[in-house]
Amino acid sequence: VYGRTVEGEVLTFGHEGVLYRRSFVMYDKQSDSKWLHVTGEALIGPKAGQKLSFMPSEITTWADWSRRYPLGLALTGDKARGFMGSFTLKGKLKDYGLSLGEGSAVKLIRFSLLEQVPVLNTRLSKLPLVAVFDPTTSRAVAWSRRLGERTLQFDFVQGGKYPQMRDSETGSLWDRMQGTCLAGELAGKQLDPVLATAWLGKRWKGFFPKGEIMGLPEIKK
Amino acid sequence: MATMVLLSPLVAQEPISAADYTKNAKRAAPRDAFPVMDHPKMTLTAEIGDQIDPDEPVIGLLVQGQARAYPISVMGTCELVNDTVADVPIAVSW
Repeated sequence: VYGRTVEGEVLTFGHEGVLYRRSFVMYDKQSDSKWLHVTGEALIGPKAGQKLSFMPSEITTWADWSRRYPLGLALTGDKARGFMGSFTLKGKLKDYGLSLGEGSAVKLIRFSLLEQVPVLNTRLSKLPLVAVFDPTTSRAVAWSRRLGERTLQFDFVQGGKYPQMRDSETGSLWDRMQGTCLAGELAGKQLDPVLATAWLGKRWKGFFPKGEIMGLPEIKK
Repeated sequence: MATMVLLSPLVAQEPISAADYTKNAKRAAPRDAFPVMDHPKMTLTAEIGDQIDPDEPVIGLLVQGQARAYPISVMGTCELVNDTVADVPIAVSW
């Protein structure tokens, strides 16, 4: 999701109908520049070199989203049927990963790995972070592990009303999807979010060929 | 516990550039063959209830406290929505 305002001008996008690195290209109706929808960057035309502002979003299930934001609005309409037929992502989330970082420091953590390791302590360059996963909604987010002077390490906690984790420094209990400490010495503390988005794994590889991918070993058939 | 490995791509790719685009971009369909939503129809989430499958993936975002959900099944082949949330013009794509 991007902001459509570039240097004060509001752009309207259409489909160019061109495929580049497994991804569709957009054009803007104001300047006819060509934009990559996965990076928000203009490659060709008067806007070449410009970048759309990135807006954080998440991919989750309808059940999870509608429970959290019942007073929000949702797109409705007929199930889209183009000449590619109808399409759903249902059951395909395993092909996705959580993309972290920008530029030279990028990392993709596959959902298939997070299903096995729902609390994953790792780093992005020098930033210690924890990637977390909720198997009931297939939602993944990431939190900084820095809290004031401390750098925390987290462990998975089974069960509980909310998806939880525990830090090994103080043993405090955290809501892992909200980044909030529920009980213990750090109760009430909030972790800082790390900008992360869900990406289709094979598409991500095309855009970040040198990016690091964390996943399960591939099984050769 | 699963073993973690780092997978590195075997084939180096050219960096993304106008030259690489000109060389490798392929036309898959005529321009505008895929519909784009410019005036998306929005409904209050609470009113939709289970008309959308609970397991259906949605793209969710918050703009200045206003929540918007874009179910993938409705986005479908459209893949692109020009919308405005809290007076902020946004493009939703996936």
